[in-house]
Amino acid sequence: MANTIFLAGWEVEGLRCPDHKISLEKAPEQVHAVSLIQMPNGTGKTTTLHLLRAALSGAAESDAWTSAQVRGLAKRGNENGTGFFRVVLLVDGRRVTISLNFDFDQGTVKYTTTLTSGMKAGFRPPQSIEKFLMPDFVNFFVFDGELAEHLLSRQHTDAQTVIENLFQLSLFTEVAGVIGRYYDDQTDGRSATEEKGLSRRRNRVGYLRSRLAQMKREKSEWNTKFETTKRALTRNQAQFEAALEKQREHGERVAAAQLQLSTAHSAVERLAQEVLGRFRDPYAVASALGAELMFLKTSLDRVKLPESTAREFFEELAEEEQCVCGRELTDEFRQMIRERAKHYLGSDDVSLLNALKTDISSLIGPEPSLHEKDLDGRLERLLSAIRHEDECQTVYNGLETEAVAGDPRLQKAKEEIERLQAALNEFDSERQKYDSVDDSAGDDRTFGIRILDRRLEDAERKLAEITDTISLRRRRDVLIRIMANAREKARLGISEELCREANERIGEVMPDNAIRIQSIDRCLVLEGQEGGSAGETLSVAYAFLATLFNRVEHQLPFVVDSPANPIDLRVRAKVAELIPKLTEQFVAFTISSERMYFIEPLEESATPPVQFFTLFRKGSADLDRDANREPVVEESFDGILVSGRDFFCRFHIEKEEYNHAVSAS
Amino acid sequence: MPFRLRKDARDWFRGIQSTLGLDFDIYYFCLMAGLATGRRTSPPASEATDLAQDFPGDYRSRGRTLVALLIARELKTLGVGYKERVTLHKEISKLIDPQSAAHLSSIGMDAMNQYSFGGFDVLTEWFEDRPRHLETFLPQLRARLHEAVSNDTASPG
Repeated sequence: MANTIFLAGWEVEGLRCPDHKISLEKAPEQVHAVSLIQMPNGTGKTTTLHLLRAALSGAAESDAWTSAQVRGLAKRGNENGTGFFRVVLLVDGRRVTISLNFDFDQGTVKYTTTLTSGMKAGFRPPQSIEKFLMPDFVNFFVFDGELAEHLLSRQHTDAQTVIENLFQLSLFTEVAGVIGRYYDDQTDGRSATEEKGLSRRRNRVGYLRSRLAQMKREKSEWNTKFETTKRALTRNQAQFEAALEKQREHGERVAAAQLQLSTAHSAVERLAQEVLGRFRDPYAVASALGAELMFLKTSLDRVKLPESTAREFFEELAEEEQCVCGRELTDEFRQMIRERAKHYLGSDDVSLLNALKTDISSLIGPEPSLHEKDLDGRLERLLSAIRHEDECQTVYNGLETEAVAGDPRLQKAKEEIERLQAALNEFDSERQKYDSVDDSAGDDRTFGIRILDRRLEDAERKLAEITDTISLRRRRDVLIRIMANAREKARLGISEELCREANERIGEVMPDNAIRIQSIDRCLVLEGQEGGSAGETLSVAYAFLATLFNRVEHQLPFVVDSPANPIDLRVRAKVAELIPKLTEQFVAFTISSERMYFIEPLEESATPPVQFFTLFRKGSADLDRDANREPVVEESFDGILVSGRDFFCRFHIEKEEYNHAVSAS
Repeated sequence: MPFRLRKDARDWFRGIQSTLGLDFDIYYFCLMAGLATGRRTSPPASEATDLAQDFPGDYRSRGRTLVALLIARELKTLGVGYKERVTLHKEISKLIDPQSAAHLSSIGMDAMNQYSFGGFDVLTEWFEDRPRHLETFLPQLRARLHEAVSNDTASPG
């Protein structure tokens, strides 16, 4: 069933803003589509919005506000020590009143909620709208410019949060939780036939989990030590070699030895690659394998495999009236031919076997041992090159030792390199034990992470078996996976649809601007740009929120602080035209400078009549007199509320002048 | 169905992986050790990863020879005589599939992978430490393979 929430009005007394009562209803249970409340700066607009959010979200419930915060909301000179803020909603046509009742002496605030069934203590909205009246969510429909920036900021997840809250995607997670708890209840509650066995298996699973985590941690620590030492070693070696080069008397000999070593090393690498190339021929690795392949080929030839006739020939023959020899084929013969055709290879098989035999003949040739001899020759050359490289290394090391002996600093550096090398070898060996595939030791002496992983899986399976819940566990896993997939798919589907609809609206507001929402990933991600101007940001946010609030499933009011203030004059008119389309009810707090290029386009687009209020503090004699000439005026202890378009449009007051008048009063 | 490589084999060869032109070389070393010793194993699916659908690089031209080697080794293991034409035909048909990129049926590919999986166990028994240099590893591996094939001298069929 669709949920509709309208804001019917509010009343405030004894708080920092002027006492006032505003009704947004144009007839019983019908609200104005657009209501504008003009409040000059210093009138308590921020306080009113703060109270409105608190009343709608229950944010001050359960002593969430400190006594200092509560007392900070008291009107200056409030003598009776109390105050209230009361908001009236129309929820699916029924009145719901939520009051915040302040006791400034005690520093407390208490909620009461009045439904058709009567008044209850506490914040108790009807269950059907609870999901909308949450602190995180109310901020979206009682909206200010800061939130618009959050929607487009990667530092905030507001856009994703609003989708998840509004479309209740958390239900999937809750269902998965219920499934998990059901499984736990079933396994915990079942009295195992072998209580001791159950306890033992549980303990083993627990031990293996903890051992596995420990081994992973240790491996990671050794890896870090290894990498750090390796970097230090590379650095030291480079410094050492540079210092060695500087020794003039050895410089040329060292350079020559280094060149020889490098050349020898390259030769080894090249020859190793040549051996690898030849190694890829299995018949070169061992001539016995070549002989075995040749034997396979000749044996197949001997038994005439593949046959010169393929299976398809006989299958086709079985369909003929007569045999190739001219005899008439009976059904019995046909059946026999079909049966025997199965002993023949198909034509594709025949081609493959022929190709295979051809490869054997052409690659191996008549003398299989030649390939092995070729590989032997290459290996011999490789081993000889390795020996030569070792000799070059020995010469180079000798020169190095000589140089080091003549320079204590080099000696020290050399020792440091040797120490680092030893440490590196130790760390490498330590970290390797976690890769061990040795499965012979007990759990407490096994280090191999894969082995422990496998044992844990096995232990979990055995634990599940003993409680006779293995199939239950599988079903649980499938269901939880389905919930996770469904949640992700729903989120993606909803996000895509919202993007599309929001982009259509952006196109309407700013037809000459290419700014568009590309995706919703934590925040609104714009196509090809990080952010926009203040006006663009606000317009994108409006379009996104309008798409959210104006849906078949629910209708929400949209309360905005300074809707046109940050928007440049060119875009204002377009935004004003859009606003009535945002929701069924739009309530805005404005200041006089926002009227230009905003009021008239808004009126043209809205369902008439647009409701106008002007609320200001008493104290300016001229202003008070002017207001009192208006037909609909309500005067309170410290404020004047004027209804009507004329006064709204001519009201203009400089902040300084107003503050001066008010403070003088 | 693809060639599959054990995860621990990939890890074991990490010291020389950069000097090998193809990851398939690791598969091939394991396969040769498995075929030479007749060792086959089937580790859990989660402990191996897909490698390739057909023979890559240099192995493309040797692919059919490797399939032939598998056939020869399988016939020998099963004790199929080369004169038993019907059985021979039946067993060969089981292993090959001309439509598959690697010319192997799913049974044939399973067998090939199992020899490679088992061959890795053989390598870890042959070598105390994992390989760190290609130039020293290849001569040692060749010597081990040669020895294993020579020990297995019974003539096929």
